Amino acid sequence: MGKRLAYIFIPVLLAAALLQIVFGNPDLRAFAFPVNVAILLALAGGLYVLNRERGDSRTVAALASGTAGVTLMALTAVGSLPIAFCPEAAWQQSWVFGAVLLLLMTNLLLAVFRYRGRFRWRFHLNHIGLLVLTAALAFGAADMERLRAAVNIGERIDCAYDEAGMPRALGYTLRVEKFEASFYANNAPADFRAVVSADGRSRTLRVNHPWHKSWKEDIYLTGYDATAGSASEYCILEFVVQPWKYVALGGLLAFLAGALLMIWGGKKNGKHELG
Amino acid sequence: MSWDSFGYFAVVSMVLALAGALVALCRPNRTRTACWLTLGGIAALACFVVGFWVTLGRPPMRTMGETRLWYSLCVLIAGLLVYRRWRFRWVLLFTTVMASVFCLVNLLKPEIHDATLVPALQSVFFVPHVVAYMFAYGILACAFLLAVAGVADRRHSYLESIDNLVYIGTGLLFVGLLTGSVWAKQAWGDFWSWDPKETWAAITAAGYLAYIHLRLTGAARSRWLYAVVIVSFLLLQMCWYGYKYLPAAETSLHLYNMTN
Repeated sequence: MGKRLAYIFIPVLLAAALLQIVFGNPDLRAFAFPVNVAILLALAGGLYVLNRERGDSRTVAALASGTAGVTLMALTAVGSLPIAFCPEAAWQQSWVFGAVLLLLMTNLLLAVFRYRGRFRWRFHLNHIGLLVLTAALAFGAADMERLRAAVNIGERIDCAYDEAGMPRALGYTLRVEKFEASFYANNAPADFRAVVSADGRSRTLRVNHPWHKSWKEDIYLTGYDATAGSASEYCILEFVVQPWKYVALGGLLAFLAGALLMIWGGKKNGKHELG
Repeated sequence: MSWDSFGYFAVVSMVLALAGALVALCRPNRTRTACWLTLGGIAALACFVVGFWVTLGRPPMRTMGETRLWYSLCVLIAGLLVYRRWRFRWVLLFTTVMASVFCLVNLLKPEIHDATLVPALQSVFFVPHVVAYMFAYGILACAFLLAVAGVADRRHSYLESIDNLVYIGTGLLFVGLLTGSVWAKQAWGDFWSWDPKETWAAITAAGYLAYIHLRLTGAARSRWLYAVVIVSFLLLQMCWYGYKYLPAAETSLHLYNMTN
């Protein structure tokens, strides 16, 4: 890592470490819409203007460089180790890890703005895909809600419970009409399904087959009374609200196309002019 | 075709692959013979995989033993492709040894191979996700072998070949990771949940991406580049099975068979 990069990265990471020490992990809800969108627009707009007005400065070039990318990948990998070894600390929600992701997004944005090299499709699909996916998952986490409810067969619910156990209104009434389960000879579950209805519509829920209730909400069947088996009197439903779902999916598909181009093309001769 | 017949297929496959590797090593001008013998070994193992799949009535990809089976097959295929493309005479021997070790582990540690497939694994993403990962593992194993050879030889001439392997292997890693991500949304409600296996997959991908960018920027010497490939391959082992030995794995959603 060059001196110029060190002058940028170290103060940012130190500031994040200080916030971490003083406040602990941030409350994600503070970054919920419209704050997350405002931060993203400010970051993208600010970097676009910076690149246009001061694009020839060494600092901007250093931030956009492949060397910065390598440094940030190493930081992301090292920063992921605490999550791998000690997931209960929720390090992925820390100020420090957030700062690394923000720097990574800065590098990706500037690289996309400045790239003039060969294999543009591959470059842009991979970098924009990763950028959009990271933004949607990191910033979108603030708008995400996961609610759960154990529902008796034949009964209706109009609320479910968040991770803290607090009841939250669903905005509609849902009824579990029927539950069925089948098992292998060794009693391992082969399939379980529940018929549910809401808003005059009815759907069969299975694992891997959620009900796409709206553009941002999906309903999942996640469990049942395992001791009772197919005679279970209740099933467990999960209500996932993820407004950034299609943004993440868009980034994911772009990244997937870029990955396929990597397999197809392999390493081609010629440098990518990453700086 | 039951698991009991695996030993016969494994022996035939490894004997053919070993013969191909020895021909490649000792008879440099008999390239075709080496390729056909290795192909015979691959075909023998592939026959078992197909037969076992039909017998089980589900893709044999659930247990660690079953993924070891795919890894043996993929590493043999990757070795053959590398040999055909770059003519490294020794590469077939190493990929055969790697495949043999994994077959041997499967023989010494027979696991439960029944027809059960938990509901979470009953998905259209199951086969492409696992196959993409296993091919990536096989190709990146070849890159690892070349990196070790590069360190031993103290020459940078292996880097061009490693580049191609890492591009293709990393592309396949991402296909596996991204198909897994869509599947995770369908099954568990989110694209990414920092599950231990996902976390190690991200760390591994970062390692290989760092290598690609180091090569593009020309910012590192060959021994450092070899080191990045070797370390990334070790991280890949953590992602595949190493994470299961950490206390954090108890919370993993990826443990489908606790006996394995």
